Amino acid sequence: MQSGTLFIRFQQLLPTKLLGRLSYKLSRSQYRWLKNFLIWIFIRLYPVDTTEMDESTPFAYSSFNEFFTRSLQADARPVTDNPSAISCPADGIVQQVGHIADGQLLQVKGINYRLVDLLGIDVAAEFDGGAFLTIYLAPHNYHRVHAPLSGSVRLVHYIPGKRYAVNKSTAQALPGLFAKNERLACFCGGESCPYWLVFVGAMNVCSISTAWSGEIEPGNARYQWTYADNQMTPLSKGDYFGHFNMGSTVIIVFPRDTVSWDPALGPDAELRVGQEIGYL
Amino acid sequence: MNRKSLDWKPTSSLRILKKRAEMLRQARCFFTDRNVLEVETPILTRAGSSDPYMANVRCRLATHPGEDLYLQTSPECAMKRMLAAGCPDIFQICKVFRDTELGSLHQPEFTMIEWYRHEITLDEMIAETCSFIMTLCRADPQETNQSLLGTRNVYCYQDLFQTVAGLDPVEANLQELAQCASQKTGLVTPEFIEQLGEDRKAWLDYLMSHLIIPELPRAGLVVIRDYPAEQAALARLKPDDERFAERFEIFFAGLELANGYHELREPDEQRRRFEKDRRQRSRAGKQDMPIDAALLAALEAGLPDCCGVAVGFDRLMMSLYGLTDITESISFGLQQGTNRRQG
Repeated sequence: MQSGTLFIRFQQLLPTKLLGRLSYKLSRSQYRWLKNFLIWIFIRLYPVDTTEMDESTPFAYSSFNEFFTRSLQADARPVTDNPSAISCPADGIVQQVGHIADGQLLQVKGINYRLVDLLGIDVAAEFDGGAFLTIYLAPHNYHRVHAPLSGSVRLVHYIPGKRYAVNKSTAQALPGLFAKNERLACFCGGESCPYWLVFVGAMNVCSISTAWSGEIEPGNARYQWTYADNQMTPLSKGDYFGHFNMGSTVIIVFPRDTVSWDPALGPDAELRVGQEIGYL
Repeated sequence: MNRKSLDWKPTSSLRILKKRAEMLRQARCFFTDRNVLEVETPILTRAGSSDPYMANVRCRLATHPGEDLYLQTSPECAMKRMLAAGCPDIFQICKVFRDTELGSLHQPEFTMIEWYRHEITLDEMIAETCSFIMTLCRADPQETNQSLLGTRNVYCYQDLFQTVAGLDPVEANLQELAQCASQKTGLVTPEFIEQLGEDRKAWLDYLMSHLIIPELPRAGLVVIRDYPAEQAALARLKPDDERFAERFEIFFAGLELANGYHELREPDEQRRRFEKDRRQRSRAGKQDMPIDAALLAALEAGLPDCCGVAVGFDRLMMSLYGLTDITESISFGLQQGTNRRQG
């Protein structure tokens, strides 16, 4: 198929330095035939469920990025009503799940990386031994991330970095991948339990947006912003938290002795926003 | 120190001090005639300006240990909170503080006249602001600079750039901006390019002040309107073209006198702009500023549709009476700081 070949050519362009800017421009182009062409190829290549989209006509989106970061119909992702349950923050598959041991998280079998490197802040005193979950968002997945628990954002740490791919094969080949890529670590002081939620950028991820700040343009230095009590509207469990402009990985981390994962949660398990993934 | 050599006298002449008092009276008349309520908001505030180009004056109070307070850089946020609480049209004559350079056009403390009008378009606000300035000019026809009353020129920011600088301020990339700056002004060194770096607004400001403003007509008020969205500040974007903001500035003989907005009312957009300011401050190595949560809460409660404008009164005095240094318009201008360690 011609479209397939073209898409492969398009992908071959991906690793170049230019790509970031090019794909940024392409994905935001509102030029009708171009954005419709990109959306059309994407739907043919990936199993996108168009029936649950808020705007079910793919070509109605004003740009490829609008389509990629689409919202869903109100009832598409019911959020668990069990008050002690952790609500799944993203659609995707479980890449790893477990507990932090000696300050380290498991990347893939046999490869660990340090929590302090991931967050850029040492929180071992509270979080060593805590539960973590790494979710891989495939290209076709819904790309909005939702709050796993109710609470307020207290601190945001932007850490610039690489843009390596985050799929399984790269994760197996590149130790410390998630602590190398560009990322945004958010600490939430929960009403019930505090947690960290980390957006890990990836190849093709042009930027990360959050509910309160909009798109965070990539930079080249670390920055940290804190929020006093009255400065942030509290998020309720299941509220929209942020999104990736193109695909990636979300990691959530809870303090020691607070959360136990649902035993059914293992690598490659499929996840949907709002489902129960663990319990307080 | 010889007491006689100490410079203790006002920097303004008695004549100008009298004119100043009269012009303040005229200004109040202008507003009371139009049923605009005079208000006062605190000079001392808990939330400083987050604008990355604005330097706040910080204060410490014994009653607030460990907390920084700030002298207002503008009464805007407080006045909007008043409007959201149901105030009618309001105006204020107040001192504002900006810790920027000292120069013939800049003082860290200056007098601002700021007012807000409900249910008014940007065009109407521009007309009223021009009318305010011209009313003061007409109030003293023997001594004020009457060329201020000359033909008014209104330009859209984009048109002005395209005509004078030959580039589109919205579409041009950084390289084109830098190239234009060095070709047309001839003052751009590699260090300077390094210094401005990737800051689009800084490049546009540089071109505005060094290339465009010197070309503006010298007589009559000049209005520049519809600034690019990235310079929206607290203005709303144009509903029919979101690349531009409903913001204007008024100049006379190259001197900026006023800055007005059709005010942004949307709390989420306001927060995004605050957050962007914070990121820019971080990137520029400037002090972080907490977000003005009270303003966001006020917008959440609902700010009425309104336009607001701020007029620099000391500069207006300069324009009216042909003064060349801002200290001639105020009683005691702040002089350049001296290095105390040497004395």
